[in-house]
Amino acid sequence: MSWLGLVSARRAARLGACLVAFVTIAFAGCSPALAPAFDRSLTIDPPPPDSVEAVVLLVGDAGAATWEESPVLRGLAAEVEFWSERIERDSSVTVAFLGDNVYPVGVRDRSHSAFATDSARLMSQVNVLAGPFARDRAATGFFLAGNHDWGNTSGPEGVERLRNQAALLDAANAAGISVGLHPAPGDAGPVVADVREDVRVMMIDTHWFLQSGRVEDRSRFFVRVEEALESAGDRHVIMLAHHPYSSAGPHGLLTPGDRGLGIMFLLQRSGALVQDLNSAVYSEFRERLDLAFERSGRPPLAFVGGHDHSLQVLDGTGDFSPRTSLVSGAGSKLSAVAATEDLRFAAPLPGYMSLIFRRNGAVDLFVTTVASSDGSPATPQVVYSERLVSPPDSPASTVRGTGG
Amino acid sequence: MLGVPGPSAGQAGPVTAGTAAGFVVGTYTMTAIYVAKARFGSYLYALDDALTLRPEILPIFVLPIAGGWLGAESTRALKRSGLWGGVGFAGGAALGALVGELVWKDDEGVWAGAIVGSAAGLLTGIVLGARDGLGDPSSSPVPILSLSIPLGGS
Repeated sequence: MSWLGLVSARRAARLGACLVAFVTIAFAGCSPALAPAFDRSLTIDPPPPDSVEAVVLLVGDAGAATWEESPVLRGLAAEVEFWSERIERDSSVTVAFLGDNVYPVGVRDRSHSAFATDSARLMSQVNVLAGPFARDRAATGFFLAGNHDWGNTSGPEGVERLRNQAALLDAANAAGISVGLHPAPGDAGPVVADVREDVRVMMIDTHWFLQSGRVEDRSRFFVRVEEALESAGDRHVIMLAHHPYSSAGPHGLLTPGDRGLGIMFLLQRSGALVQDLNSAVYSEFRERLDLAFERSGRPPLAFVGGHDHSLQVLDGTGDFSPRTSLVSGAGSKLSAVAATEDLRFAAPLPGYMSLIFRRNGAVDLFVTTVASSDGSPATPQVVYSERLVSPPDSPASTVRGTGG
Repeated sequence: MLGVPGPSAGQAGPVTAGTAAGFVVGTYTMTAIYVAKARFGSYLYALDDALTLRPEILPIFVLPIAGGWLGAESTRALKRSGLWGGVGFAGGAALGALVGELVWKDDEGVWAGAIVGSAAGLLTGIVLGARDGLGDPSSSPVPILSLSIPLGGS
């Protein structure tokens, strides 16, 4: 049979019929996921500035945002300026960019045609810390690496992408904007920063672990995590990473068999989707992290990640798991959230989170969305708040998750 | 004026069946490609990534059309493709699982081997079955499977 013989009007008509049938089958049964509803009443009032000692703002997955068009970045910048002006102490305002700072594949080489776009996306986030008060008060930007910053790859190629990003941040730093990539390219961390006498921030590169094939390197990483936890003493520890400890978003839930035509199960079972919490590598990461928390006897106050493109506040589930798990990955993309038992709050809306450290020792969490439902200009709005740590001298001094 | 005849009423069933089967096989083939790539360090990050426009999703578009065409051409070829595809799927899965176990030595490796092997077997079986079915039936009187049962006797 000649292939040329296939090309006839009759057969073309059949091919057309096949195509129509295929499209009908392919798109049947697709339905959008729904987000759970929450009571948005605020439990904590916005603090008067003179009661605040330090502020840590948390935003992730902002790598598709541009300064000109992103209300999230502009809202963040306004908040950085607000606090930098009012807190009379240097380095009291910190912004943690929780990875996936540059979509789709990190910062490519200068010779690449996409370098200008990549660098513009990164500098849009650097701009958050470029205001006059932020510069004057040395407001600090911690940039963490996400899987997209690694170029969605592994090994030396991924580390090279991180080096490109670090070089741009170093240049901004030299220009007077206090930013940097933490941990350094190719290093898993943890990098430690004590933002207050009793608060330690630990930054780790979770993608390093997910792509690392060397058992000895992984073991050394967890030894360092344990050491950093033990040396924290009585400080509260806040762990920052790109990948969350838990999530009710697409990366965190077992996929129902009917979703994604059933291929999700096969991909997860064969370890092809390492970025999901239930993949073998990710599961190992969480188990060994829990073990480190248990050995140190000091589970973190909060584990903060991005990766899923929503705002989530979740309970820690185990005796030594983090008291609170936060997902703040709605910097430039959005994904759905499902209702789960450990979910305290969730919003699949663009925005960020704030940890407010008060002078009286209290630690408060605020969730801010920057969304517009009626086409009007989006403005930041606090949609959720709660006290993570009560003041030490309060009648019922507690840490959220330990009986508080 | 020349008219273009469409599929006859009797062909609608095989065309639909071929298209649907092609979609399933295309989706499975795409999955196997991703699984194979992940074994060599190129992981997927979410289902959304898997379904974005990239070369790996080509089977989802090509195979339904091929399946529908095959159904329109020859019901016999479609049936033979299905049968030999099934045999290839099972054989490839078993062989792939064994190779996965030997090469990667973990559960994920066994699953990956089985998925990649079954997809390879499935495609091979489909092609062989289609070739067999599209041939001249009169020149190929050999049955798909032959079975000899000794009946004994004196």
